[in-house]
Amino acid sequence: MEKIEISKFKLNLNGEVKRVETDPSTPMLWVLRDELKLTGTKFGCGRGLCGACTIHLNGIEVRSCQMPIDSLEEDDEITTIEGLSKEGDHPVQKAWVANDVPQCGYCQSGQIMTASAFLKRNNSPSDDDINNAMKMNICRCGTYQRVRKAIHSASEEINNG
Amino acid sequence: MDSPKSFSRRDFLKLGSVVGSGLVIGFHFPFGNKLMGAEVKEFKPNTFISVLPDNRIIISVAKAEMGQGIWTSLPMIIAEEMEADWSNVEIVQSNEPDFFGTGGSSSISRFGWKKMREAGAIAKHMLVKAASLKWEVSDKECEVKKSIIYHKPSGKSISFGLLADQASKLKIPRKVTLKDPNNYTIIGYDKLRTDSFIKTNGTASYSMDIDIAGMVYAMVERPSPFGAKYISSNLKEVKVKPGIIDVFETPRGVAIVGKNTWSVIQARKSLKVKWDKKKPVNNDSDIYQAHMLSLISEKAKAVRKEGSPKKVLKDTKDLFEAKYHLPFQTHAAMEPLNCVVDVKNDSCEIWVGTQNANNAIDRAHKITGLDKKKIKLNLTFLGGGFGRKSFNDWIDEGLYISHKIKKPTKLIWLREDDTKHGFYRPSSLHHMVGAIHEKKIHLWKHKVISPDVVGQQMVYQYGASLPGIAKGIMSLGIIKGKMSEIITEGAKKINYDFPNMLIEMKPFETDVPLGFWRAVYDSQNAFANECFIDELSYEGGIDPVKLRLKHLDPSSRSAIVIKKAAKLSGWGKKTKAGHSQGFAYHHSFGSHVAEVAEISVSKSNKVKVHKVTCVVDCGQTVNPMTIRAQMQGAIVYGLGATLKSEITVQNGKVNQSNYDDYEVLRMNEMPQIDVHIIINNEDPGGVGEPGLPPIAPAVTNAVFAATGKRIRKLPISPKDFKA
Repeated sequence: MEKIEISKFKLNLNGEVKRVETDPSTPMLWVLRDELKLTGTKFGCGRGLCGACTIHLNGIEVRSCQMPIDSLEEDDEITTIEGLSKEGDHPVQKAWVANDVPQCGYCQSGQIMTASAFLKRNNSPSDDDINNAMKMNICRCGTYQRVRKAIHSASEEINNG
Repeated sequence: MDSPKSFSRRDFLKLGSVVGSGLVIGFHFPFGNKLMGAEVKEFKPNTFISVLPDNRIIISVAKAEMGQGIWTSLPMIIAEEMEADWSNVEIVQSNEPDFFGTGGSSSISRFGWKKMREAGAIAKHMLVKAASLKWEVSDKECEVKKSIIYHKPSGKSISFGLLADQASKLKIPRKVTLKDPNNYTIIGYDKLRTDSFIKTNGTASYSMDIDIAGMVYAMVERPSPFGAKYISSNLKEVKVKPGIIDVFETPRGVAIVGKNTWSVIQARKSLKVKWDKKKPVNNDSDIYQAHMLSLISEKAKAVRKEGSPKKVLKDTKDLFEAKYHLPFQTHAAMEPLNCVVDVKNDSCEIWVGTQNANNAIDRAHKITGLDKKKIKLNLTFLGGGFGRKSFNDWIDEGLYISHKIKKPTKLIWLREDDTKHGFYRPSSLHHMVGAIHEKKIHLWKHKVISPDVVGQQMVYQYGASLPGIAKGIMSLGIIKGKMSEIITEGAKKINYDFPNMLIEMKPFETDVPLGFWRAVYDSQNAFANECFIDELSYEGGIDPVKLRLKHLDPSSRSAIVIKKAAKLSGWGKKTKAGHSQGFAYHHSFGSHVAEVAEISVSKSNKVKVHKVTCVVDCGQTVNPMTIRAQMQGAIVYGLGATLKSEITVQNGKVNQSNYDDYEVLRMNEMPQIDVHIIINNEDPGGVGEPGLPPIAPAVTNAVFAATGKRIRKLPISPKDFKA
């Protein structure tokens, strides 16, 4: 068998330190899913086109399928849907439930991770702002109208809460 | 109140009466869609209502939740007839090995409605009986509200939970009385989905997320071109790649097994397979299109005839003619196909999100040779289905691999596999001939030219393994001939009443694997119908909505839906500057839907849809929130296919691969969609699919209103605007 190159990595993940031994070219998507069994981050396209694998890198939304584990810096902080809030009660998560957003639900971790990072930069977005921020997250059930509504209601809660 | 309904007692079964376990009623919720291979031979309960001593009511359903909201709407029906407190109702997935398929917009409409109501009424009846025995009063004096039984004359009351054990000792009643719909408090009212919370915190489990000890990861390189035979490959070279456990040939392609997904993806890049395809049949978009055009002049089979169309055709001078082309489409559900299969010497366990679970068990039996009792299927959530996940071809792959290596295996399709190895909505051609005299349609002729999904999918599903007799019957064309009529769905039963009418079909063969796409043939036939009626209205100098109404009974459900959509959208009134409207209506899966698209066309001929007004009559509503979501969803799905997506085939290979070349609708293209639901007590119709057929013609009719250009080919392309 050809030799596999294995490296050791230390990750700051959802507020904890995690150690992984893997091929350094492995995208974070597969590190999270296969090695760390954090399956809330979804595989949709593998090419950064659909947004289902969105996670936060230092608070900014990134496509984990396009991010090899060895591209991370030592002090980088990673947040996945599992670490967005302890009780699943981040304002965006609450707004998603209250507005009945999910259907099949497969894309929604990614939608929520994009929306939550975006709302940190713009806490009272217009429809156009939302369209621009969310256009890289595909939903085949067509929940877009409720996503838009839920982002508005989450922004209200963030501003008033 | 309805009169008491009797039913066969064997339809419902009381299970266990262990003290403390409460009342459990099991019943069989059938799914009779023979196309999906389901035929009920014996009664086995697959749906259960459990009333627990702590007042919780657990409903378990052996049916797939793929986003359509069945986890919410089915329990609503049961809870209504039970007079249950909705906040105490919980739903879980049942994995009893007699699943029902999920497809054809049928969850509620065809089978769920009556059975669920009866089941709820039976549970209530038994609980009330238990209370009346306890209090020694007549059960007729008891009333139920929100899981509490009241006896007014004595002022006594008791909750369901406290009676559950006693009720479980009673017999299932022979007859129950169903509620008067006017007294509903749950059915027909907005209820939030029961599965939202787990779908917002990453814990909802899809088969892609299943992880079991010792699991390996696998992918398959499939025959290309379609239907090709394996000749050779560099298996040995790939086998030594890092992290690879095994590489071997299976009846469905070359399998690569590795220790994680990434090693399989990497190693697969070096796999080279030689395939051979002899005698390709219409496996190239150009050849396929030319073939369809050549069939226009060929004799076709009539499936409906009204008046004397042939005579009118011969005698009429001002015939109007149009041809509509629709492309192949793929489903592109967010969750690529996958499953986890664990075949051992004496057992087999499968984890999968499928629309057709019983068929998956049949496949496991066939491939492993194990008795069906040794095969367990765990139905997970589906990350979208849209018809694709009723075909189960990928489960065969997982079965072959795990059966060979005797290890639990996660079989994963990449997005590219999903795009290139689908069961596509067929590309079709619709030849229309009509005449309009004195502002009324005098003649309507629609010739549907398309391959037939059913015959095609049988070949590709079972291919060489098709049993000898079935092969014989297929070759005689008996089954195929009968089933081909599916291609006229939505064309044959068009709701308009035209004096002279001829609907014909011309099925043909292709190597391209075909399947059920959301709304199936209604997606194509409605496009032809509703564009052509719009064209005829302009030919005849009459408003397109008025023309439709002239051919409908004014009190019919179709006419009501059409009039409501015209009113709510401000049809015929002034629109915003630069905006134009288009209208379409279609009846499918038991529901009537009219849609008005408001669009603008840019200088570079890009179409932007600003607003869609949708009016739906799906009969008795269960959860209006679900209906609105499904209408919006079908419109979004249909808009992608109207404005952006298309599958093309070259030498038996699909040209597209991922969301960059099979483009779907995105947030920035999402119009405002207003859904209005007509309220009546007609039998419930489907809601998953009927919202889709009208959207494409509504948009192209609006494009005509805006630009004077007729779009007769989807998706709309800026090229179509050139004179």
